[in-house]
Amino acid sequence: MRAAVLLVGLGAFTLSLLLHVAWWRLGRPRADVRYLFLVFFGVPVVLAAATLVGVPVSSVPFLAGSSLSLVEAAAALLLAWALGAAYVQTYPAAQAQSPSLVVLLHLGGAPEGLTQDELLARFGPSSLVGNRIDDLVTNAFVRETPEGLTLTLPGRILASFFATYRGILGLRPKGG
Amino acid sequence: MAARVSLVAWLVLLCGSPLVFFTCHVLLQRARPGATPQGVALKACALGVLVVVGASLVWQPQLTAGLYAALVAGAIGYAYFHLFNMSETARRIRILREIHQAGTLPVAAVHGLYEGDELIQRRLERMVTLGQIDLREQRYVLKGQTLYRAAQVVAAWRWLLGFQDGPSR
Repeated sequence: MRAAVLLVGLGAFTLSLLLHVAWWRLGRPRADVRYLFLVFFGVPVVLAAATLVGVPVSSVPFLAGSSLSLVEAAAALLLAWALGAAYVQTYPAAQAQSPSLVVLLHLGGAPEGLTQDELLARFGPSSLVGNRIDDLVTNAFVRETPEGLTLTLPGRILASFFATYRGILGLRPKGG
Repeated sequence: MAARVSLVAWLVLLCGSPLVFFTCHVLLQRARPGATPQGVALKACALGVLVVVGASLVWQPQLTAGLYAALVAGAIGYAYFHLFNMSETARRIRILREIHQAGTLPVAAVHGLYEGDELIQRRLERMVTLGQIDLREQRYVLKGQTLYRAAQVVAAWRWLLGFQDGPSR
């Protein structure tokens, strides 16, 4: 395997990450999950396709003049996608402000420790749940009806997937 | 031609690595049903990376190929762990499950799922079990540094992405 495959794969991921940061800083899209997928899975496809005709590879000095074969471009794409999947799975911790991580930050700032009541006072319980409901509606997993909240088709697929997945593992359905 | 076929077969093996992680996870979890689920998932991911990278080195015994396989398997293993962790801790997954079971659920009923201090209480218990915090004389204090450092990095990243509140500290 040529080093160019690693460089193109890492480069495609880095470019996706830079685009994501710039886009989010300019104005975070409301349905951010689908755009996150577009950035981390769509952008590498364009770049991998471009390497077939030598566009990004030929701009690297010691690789000048070369291009990737179809299999090498696929390998570079797989690397970019794997790294993208790792990032996409990390993103909710930042976007949704994981309560566990927020608790740790509060404790980090209080060497003498905090009682449970003092910790609770630093959270708005309704916002911890309300924001999650808004997210599910915005990203079209849940629909608001006059009777209440119902699942859309993607929401039903996701709920069934996690129930089946935990069932195979021998674990009860859970969630936070 | 043979080298190209071998490379394609190797990439197919790497693409199938999520199945390796899942198989390791099912076997370990079924063997130790009483163990902490997240601890089992972590061990399954570590085992999965070893299996995939080991098989990969037998197939393509080169430095760049080994590095490539370690990056791909490591990233997929990390993503797999977080996928499982979502099923264990994510509020969104629980809300989806509750609505799925009920068919339709009023917004107030969803809020009612987290009555009182349950949401924070369960997280505190989990972090005590994981050895990240401790309860001394009714006060929670930091014990481990691993998750705390991760929390600081995530808070800094949140700030970089332009979220309004920025890092807490």
